[in-house]
Amino acid sequence: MNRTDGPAKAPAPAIAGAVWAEAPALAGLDAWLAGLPLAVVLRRRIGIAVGSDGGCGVAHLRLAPSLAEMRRMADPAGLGDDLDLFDHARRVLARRLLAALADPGLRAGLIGPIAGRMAAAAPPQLHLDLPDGATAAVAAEEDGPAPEPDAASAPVAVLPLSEAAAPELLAARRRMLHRRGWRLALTGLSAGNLVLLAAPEALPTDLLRLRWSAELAEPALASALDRMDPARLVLTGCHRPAALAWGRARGIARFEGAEAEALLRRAPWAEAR
Amino acid sequence: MSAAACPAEAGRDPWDPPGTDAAAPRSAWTNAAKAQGAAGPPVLLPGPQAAADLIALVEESVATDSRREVLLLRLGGLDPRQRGASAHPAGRLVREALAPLFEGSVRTRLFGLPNGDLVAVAPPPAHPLEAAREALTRVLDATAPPDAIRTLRLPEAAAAVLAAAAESLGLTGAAAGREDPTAWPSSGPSAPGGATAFDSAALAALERTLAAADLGAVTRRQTVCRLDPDHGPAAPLWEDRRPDWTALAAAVLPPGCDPAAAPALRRRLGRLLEARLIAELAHPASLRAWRPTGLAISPETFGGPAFARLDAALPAMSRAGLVLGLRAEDALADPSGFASVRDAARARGYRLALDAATPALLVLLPPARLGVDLVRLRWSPDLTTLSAEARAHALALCPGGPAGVVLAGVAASAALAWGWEAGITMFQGPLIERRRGPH
Repeated sequence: MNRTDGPAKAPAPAIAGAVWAEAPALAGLDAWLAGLPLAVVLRRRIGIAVGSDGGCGVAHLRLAPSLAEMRRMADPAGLGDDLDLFDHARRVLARRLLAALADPGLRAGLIGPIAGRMAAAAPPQLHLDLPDGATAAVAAEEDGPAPEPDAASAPVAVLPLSEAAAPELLAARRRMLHRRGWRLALTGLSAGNLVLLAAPEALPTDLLRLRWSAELAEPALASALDRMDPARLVLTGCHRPAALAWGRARGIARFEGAEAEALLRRAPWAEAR
Repeated sequence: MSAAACPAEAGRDPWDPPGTDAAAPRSAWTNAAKAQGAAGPPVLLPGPQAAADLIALVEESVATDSRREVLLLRLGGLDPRQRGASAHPAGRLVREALAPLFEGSVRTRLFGLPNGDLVAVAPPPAHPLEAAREALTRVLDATAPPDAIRTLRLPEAAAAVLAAAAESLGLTGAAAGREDPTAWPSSGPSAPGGATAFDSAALAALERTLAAADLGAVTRRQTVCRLDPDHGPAAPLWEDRRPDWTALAAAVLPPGCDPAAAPALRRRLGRLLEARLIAELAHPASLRAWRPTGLAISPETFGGPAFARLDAALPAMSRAGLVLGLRAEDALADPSGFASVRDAARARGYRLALDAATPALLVLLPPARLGVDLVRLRWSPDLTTLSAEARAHALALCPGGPAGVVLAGVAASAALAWGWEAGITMFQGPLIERRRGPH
């Protein structure tokens, strides 16, 4: 799968200097990403909040590039075969997306209609990836604690759970985000990695995006799930009614996925909560 | 080591603040110091320079495995009258009790730390130190703190001595502000600031360059050694090989072009380099001269053709000599992929390590749940700020406890000293390379 993973050629001369030659596919990746139409490649996922009465409303909007969409488009770099390159694309597009959202003319189109209404009237909370370098100045800034920004309105920066492999650094990045008025969500928590974590409740984050699977109901995970505050959880990948039922039984109120959006469409009283 | 200390400092009273003109002899102490100073050591070195020299001496002792007796006098915390900051009779008593240090032994070195603490160091047998300790015990009254006088041995107690030196300089922890010269790839991206960005074009060019290059100059090889504080020789266990990102950037990247600024591209480049290191191991000449080796690899590399070739070429009995370092971020990103790599590697007889661990990671992601055999703990001066309880808790989570831990990045004796205190006996880093000497 990794094209660079081939065997070494015969022993060669030592490195004398870079050969800045063109390697068309990989070399052109960043230029290709710079021209990719954002609106086409972005996946819009509406997050819903379900009340104790069963009523639901819009909680947030997750905007992220879709690997499938990028694979469908003319992909000069074999992007879809190399998850590192997709990860790079995600980071590059995150920078473009942040810039576009700051432009009122582009913002409305990217956010689009939600629950039958244009979102400009009641802008939803955004869950967005962070570009490279967004929290690079962590060490340079003063490192005092900052209060968590308002849960209802502050935008949410989404980082992969693998960033928790450096817990101290992640905690510093979270403080930096708070100072800038953002909250932090870790995404990619699942039954598979939850079983590895001794203290998921101690992860330095404001929200955890937990990917639903039937394995979450296994008894081995019950104690880990019990230790986490359901108010910090967003259950993602809810494409089946069983996901919503499981989450609501655990006290989770926020959901993402096809089934969650279907629930929103069916609710006559649907409105932003 | 700066055994030839600044002679201008030799006549100073250890209790004078730095910069004080103490040229006039005021006690038997300073007289003795001056007299000895003319002939050579001991040399009295008050102030920050003394702390720096003490740190250098401790590091040298650890690096060369040379024994020293240490008398640590926490005079800084005593009543000023007792430590002799004034001409109070009690202070004079302390000074007179210390006078024997200067009379019999030219091998004793005395360090007057900036906070008023005093450290005497001598090679064993250090009778003058013992005499001074006994005299001081008689002089100090019951109000003195219990640890006002401590007798320590180098190199075992290097951490405690370094901590005293660091504390006297106003630094917390035992690192004494020494920069760790081992350049770990920075974990956070840095803003390029107008320099050439590390983008896909730069990566593509680099991959072409590296595809046919000899990677010897950009590979860091360090021997993981078993090293006990009780003066056994460093016993080599295996050779750790990994890309030397600093050397790589210097060799093939324009200034300011930093792979850390694009972590995803950097990871792909890392996979390329991992595969090349594995291909080198599978070379017939390497296989004939097979030595135990450690590599950090990603799951993709384990499943790639280079590793398949090595696996096919490596005799079954040699596989236990290959330590595969797996990364926590890979386990979190793809736990099932991680598990299948781990199980396949274990079934083939390879040893598995958790690479680049920190105590906070061990608590969050216990190695037992990951199913690895070893933990490669990354040295950082921050480790010295851990409480003994937190350290013990984190290391107890490692398979086999501290005995299953390799402390990597050991560049200064503070790291070695911390490891020994924690019960760690496997080490890797520039200091270990120096201690092994030329091979």
